[in-house]
Amino acid sequence: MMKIERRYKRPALKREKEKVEELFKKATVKNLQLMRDVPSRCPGISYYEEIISQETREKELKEFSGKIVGSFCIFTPEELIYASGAIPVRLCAGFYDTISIAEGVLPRDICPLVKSSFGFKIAGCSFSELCDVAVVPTPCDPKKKMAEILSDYLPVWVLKISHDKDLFYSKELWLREIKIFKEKLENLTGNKITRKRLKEAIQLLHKRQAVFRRFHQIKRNNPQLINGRDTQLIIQSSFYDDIERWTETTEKLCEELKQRRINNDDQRVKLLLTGAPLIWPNFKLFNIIEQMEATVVTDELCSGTRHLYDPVEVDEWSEEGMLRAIANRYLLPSTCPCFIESDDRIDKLLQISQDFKVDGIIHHSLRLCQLYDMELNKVASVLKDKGIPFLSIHTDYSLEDVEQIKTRVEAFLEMIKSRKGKK
Amino acid sequence: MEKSKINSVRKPHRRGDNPLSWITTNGVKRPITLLRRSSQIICFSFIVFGAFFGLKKQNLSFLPFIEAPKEYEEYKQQLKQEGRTITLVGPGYPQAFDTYLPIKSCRFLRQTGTFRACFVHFVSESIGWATPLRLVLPHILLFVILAVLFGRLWCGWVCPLGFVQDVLNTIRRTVKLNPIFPSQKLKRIFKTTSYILFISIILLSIISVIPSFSWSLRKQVYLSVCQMCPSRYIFPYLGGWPIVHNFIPVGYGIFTTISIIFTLLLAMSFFMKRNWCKICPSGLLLSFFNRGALMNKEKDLLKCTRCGICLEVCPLQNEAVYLEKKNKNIDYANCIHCFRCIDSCPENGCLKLKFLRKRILQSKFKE
Repeated sequence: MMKIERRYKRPALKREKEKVEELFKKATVKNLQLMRDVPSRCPGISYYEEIISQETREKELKEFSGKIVGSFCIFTPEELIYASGAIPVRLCAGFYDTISIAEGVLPRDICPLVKSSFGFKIAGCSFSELCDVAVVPTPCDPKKKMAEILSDYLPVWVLKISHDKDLFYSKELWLREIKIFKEKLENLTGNKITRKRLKEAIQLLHKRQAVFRRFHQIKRNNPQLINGRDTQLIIQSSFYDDIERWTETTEKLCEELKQRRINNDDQRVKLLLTGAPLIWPNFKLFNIIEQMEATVVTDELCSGTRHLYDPVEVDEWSEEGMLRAIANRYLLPSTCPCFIESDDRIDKLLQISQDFKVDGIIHHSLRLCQLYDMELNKVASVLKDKGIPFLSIHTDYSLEDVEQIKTRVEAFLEMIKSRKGKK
Repeated sequence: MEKSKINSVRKPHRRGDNPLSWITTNGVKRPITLLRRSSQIICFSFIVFGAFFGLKKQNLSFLPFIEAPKEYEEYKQQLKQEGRTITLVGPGYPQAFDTYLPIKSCRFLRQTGTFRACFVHFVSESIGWATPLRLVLPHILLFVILAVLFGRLWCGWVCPLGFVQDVLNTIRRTVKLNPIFPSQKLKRIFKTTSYILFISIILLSIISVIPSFSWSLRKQVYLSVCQMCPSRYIFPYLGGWPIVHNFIPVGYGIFTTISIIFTLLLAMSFFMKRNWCKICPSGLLLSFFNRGALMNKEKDLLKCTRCGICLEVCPLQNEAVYLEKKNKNIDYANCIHCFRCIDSCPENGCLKLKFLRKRILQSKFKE
């Protein structure tokens, strides 16, 4: 394939690898400490703690002889990456201290997630340094333009998403995009993605999805078995972890949770968290909520449940059939606000809040993430009609506004409790 | 003591349980399709090869036997002299039951078949013979009862012609060839064709009964539905009878050409699932009952994530199940009740099959 060469290069950057690494370690340790300060915490979390602190996993990946593909969204089809023999690693980051580094290249007024993830590459640490290529889907403008800037430092493949999934040709376009992605992967790794390999990869991920759904079900039946923060930890460690090991460990954890008995009556307020992604180590909101008498029973975040919930359902095991199934799974059930219609997302919110019997919904909107902000009004009005308490929190990665959020969440919880008391 | 005994015998039925869990636990990914295939095979062998299982002609007293008027008996004799044997089935019908099912239980099967003919044949025949209402009514009543009970379940689970198409499609699946998905335009063309075909069948039957038309014209359009039907080639072939067709006079020629085109269309269901079902007049008749039938499908609108698998597996590419987000009743005219959507839906309890408001099947995530 002919490609137009870049004509204007950017200057090289100074790298602050050690400093960032140290800060990241600090943030990780601080978060983990906060999460450990909980009475009757679920056992078996230490494995996930180790994965999320990245050091061990980084060492493992350095020793890995194959290719490593960095991905940026839940739109990246992991099945194809596994089928080509490469390992996917999700590069989205929630680290505050890389933002200022990234601002040397990126403008200030864009979403902190993009800046933070990009900062890691500039600083030259974490997984982005190990990646052979980065896959950037284009749900929003910052990600799209970041792809261009990132391509100065790393080969970047862009997956173009059409923003109206109901239109008959968006499925065709996306399928074509997936096929091109497959070709690129084959060229990168030198392995042909055969039908057999693709089938194996689909089954591998289907197994993971099945285990996660089992976990989800257990948590639904008894939300006090495991914290919201720990759940997020488990989900987000799957971004980096070896898939088979993660599946096995989580399967074991499910068995343990089934055995676990907690007798004390749970008085905590059950909350549902939705909105912009909250990625490690940005567990600020989780920490604030769970330090009070509340728990996040489930979430509708692309860094959370949505990353693992939808399975690839294949009708025909021909190559085309499998690719179609993969394309459908990543495009159609997605409730990302990048799509024109937000009704599906509202449906999903109502369904989850019914299913988990939640007492209230907290909407996390990341500062400068316009897409979630635009949907906020509609979501809020629907939930108001349905009589579900709703709180929107507008924040970013910095820890400056912790006290302020605390006060708001506290008031929200008081309101829910008084409502419960009336009933 | 007695109380505990009752408890041990009658296990309380939990609401979340899938009635088909006994199959799914044995590693079967598509339990409903497995059931459907078994039903199709049993029905196929019963309907097409009934005589081989020792089924003899029965006298069913509750349904009157419809006899052709004298005029047509003479016509049959005339055909015999011409050497055409295709429409000639001797005095009366040799099939075991004088019943018209709402599926293609074909008269071309002759001695091997079990049922007399399909219901569209009956419609055309009774108009063409000007059979009195007294004789016709019980048959219509039977059809209406069967249709109201099950809707187009007949197409998906019983019809032998549907089974033939499914077998063709299964062969394609096993050799891993890609299917062709019809475009919106093609779907519209199929729909219009089905209506045109049905209306022309009725009109031609009416022409064949009007005495003021000459006999040479009337005999050409006599039972035009059977002359156009692809089962004319398929069932004699399966039952081991010779395939006979005429191109002279012109009327026969036109209908035979149409039937060849329809047979090719049916053969195309190798690539495009259930092609003939999209224009089948029996299916069209049944589809009017689909929405009000006692057997109905329901969708839990909130549980649906619109992952699109129901559209992907649907043999008639029915978009409605996938798009529906307002009405929980999802019975549509062109749904053949194959329940593949229920079978492959990954959300627990999102799609349900109900009979008399009682849940029979529901979707379940298969690990």
